[in-house]
Amino acid sequence: MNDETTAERLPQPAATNEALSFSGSAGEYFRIWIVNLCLTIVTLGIYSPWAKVRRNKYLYGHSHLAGASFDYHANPVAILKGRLIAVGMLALYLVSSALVPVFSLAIALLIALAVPWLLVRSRMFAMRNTSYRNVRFRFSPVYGQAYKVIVGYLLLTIVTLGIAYPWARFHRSRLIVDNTGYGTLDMHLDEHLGGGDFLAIYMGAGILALGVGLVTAIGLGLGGSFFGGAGSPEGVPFIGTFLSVVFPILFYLALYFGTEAAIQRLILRSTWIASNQLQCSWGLPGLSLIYLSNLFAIALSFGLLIPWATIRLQRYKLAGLALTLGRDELEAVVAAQAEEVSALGDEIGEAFDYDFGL
Amino acid sequence: MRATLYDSGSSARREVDISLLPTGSLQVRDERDVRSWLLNDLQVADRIAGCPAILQLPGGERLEVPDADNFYRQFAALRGHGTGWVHALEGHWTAVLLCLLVTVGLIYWFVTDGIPVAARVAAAAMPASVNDLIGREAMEAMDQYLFSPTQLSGERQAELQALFDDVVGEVGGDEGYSLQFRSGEGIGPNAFALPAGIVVMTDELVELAEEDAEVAAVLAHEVGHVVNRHSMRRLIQSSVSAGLIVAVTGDLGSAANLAVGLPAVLLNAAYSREFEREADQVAFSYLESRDIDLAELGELLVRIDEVYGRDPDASTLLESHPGSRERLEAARER
Repeated sequence: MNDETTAERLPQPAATNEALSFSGSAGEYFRIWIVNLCLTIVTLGIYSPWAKVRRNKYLYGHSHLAGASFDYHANPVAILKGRLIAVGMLALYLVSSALVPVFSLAIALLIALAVPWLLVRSRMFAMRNTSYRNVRFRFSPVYGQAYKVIVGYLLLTIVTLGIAYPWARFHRSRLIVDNTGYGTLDMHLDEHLGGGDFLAIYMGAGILALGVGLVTAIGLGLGGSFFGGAGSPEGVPFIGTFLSVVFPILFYLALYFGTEAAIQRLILRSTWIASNQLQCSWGLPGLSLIYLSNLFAIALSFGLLIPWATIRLQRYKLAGLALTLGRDELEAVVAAQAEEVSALGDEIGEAFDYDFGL
Repeated sequence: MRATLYDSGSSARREVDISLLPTGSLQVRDERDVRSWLLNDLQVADRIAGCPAILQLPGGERLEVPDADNFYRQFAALRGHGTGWVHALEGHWTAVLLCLLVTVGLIYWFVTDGIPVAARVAAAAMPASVNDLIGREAMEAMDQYLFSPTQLSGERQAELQALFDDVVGEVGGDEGYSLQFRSGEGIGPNAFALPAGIVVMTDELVELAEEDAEVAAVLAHEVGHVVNRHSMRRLIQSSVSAGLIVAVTGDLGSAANLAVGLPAVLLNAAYSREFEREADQVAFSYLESRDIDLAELGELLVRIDEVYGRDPDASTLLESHPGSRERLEAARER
């Protein structure tokens, strides 16, 4: 890191920004999605890894940075092996939870103990199979560190009744970003970022949640006493339902998405790829509205609008990202040596619904 | 054709000219030199809509050809076959429409027929010891948290046991049964069946019934759940349908779980209502065999609704039981 700080002191030409962009279309992606879903169902799921690879190849191939696109290289057979094992474990878990609850508890505990390992393997698989300009990304096999960070901060979060959660989240993000690399370039989170920045976001969301909850409750109380009694006009029950049920659900969902987006934006803004810094200009209300409307579109269309929702989210997310180029030019990144990784961690994580995101 | 050549082992790139030669080889030219490879030695990636053609050269270099249409056409002409039948399907609107119809049709069939039939077969094949195990575990758990011992007199218990034996003898099939009385302050008038043939009835239900025919109707309904192995089928159906939903929505990320939850809830409620109707049919056959008015079942159900403050006409998509009024109607139609 020393030579980086000296380099930053030297006079430099005005920084150039390279914007990321997404060129996929909902129509094209729908066709890929439905054809591959159909093949998956007809083959009773055997085809699903090939479907996953094809969908990802479309999404990665239409993601652009500086005149070049990304690519996804996962081997469908590796994914199939991982999925079979994951499905087997899930079935064992489901059946045993009905038959011998004690045994299923043991499986759940075993999986929970494996979470740090799964996270590292999943991240290694994802990075190993992502390329940009014919150079792969990578993730270091930092199992020990993962156990320290995840188990340690989990215990701390429990002991402090949740107060330490922002720090737990921060250190998990740092673990993920700091151990990722592109070719020989190392990625890292800004040194100035800390758990306090995460706390500020969660505090803001908490205050907003409390405030709106209070206002709604007071409003309902007033409305109740005002409209109460037998002579209520016709439309009032509808307005009452909207205020007391629909509005809070919509608001808290949007707040959840907005908070998550704020955390991700903070992480991305603080991410460096060697001397190149990521920029993120997502608008939080805009992004949470996209999440919220996607949710309803998917539920109401019985899933048929999944491709449309995916494309629209991807386009918004990438349009808000840019890379400020430093002295490590993207033109001359050297590929790092890396071994193939099995898909087991990725697929078990998926089967048991662990979120391995930032 | 113009193409971009990416170095192997670094992110450097340069523009090159490529041609596919009739001899079955690829020629790559830049200002420095001319190289060529046999097409057999190249890895030509399956085509993806809107993306350049991508070739992996033997030394690890990567070639991107922006004019994918032109490249794949020439390539197919030379090799005599296309690049990826999946892409061909994705490119034809008729094929896409067919896939859409097949997918929607198959999912509909899985949900309405496939999963229930498979669950029925699987549940019937399940060894009795498995059923016993689940039933005993469930009963122990409920005794611990929900129930206290019955307050019914020994005499009353014997009467109801005799009634139950009569029901089992008529419509019980070859399953093993036991009738359990419990006092359930927390849950009110209720009766339910566990996999091992354990039928539980609360004191509150016995008190609510105006005549024994009503109790017999409810017992016959619960025996209907046991005979049809509904607990096991419910377990299988909810697991399989959850798997199906995951397969459809795939790699969506955790935010989408919320959207996926709703169909799962609706589906399980629909399966549950179907089970209730099946169990009602068993109850009706018992009542018919004893010349009891089929409405006895419905009358007790409507009275239970009153206790819980439920609307007997309610028959919504989220309900686990059909509306009591609808069940009365079903009795009249027999």
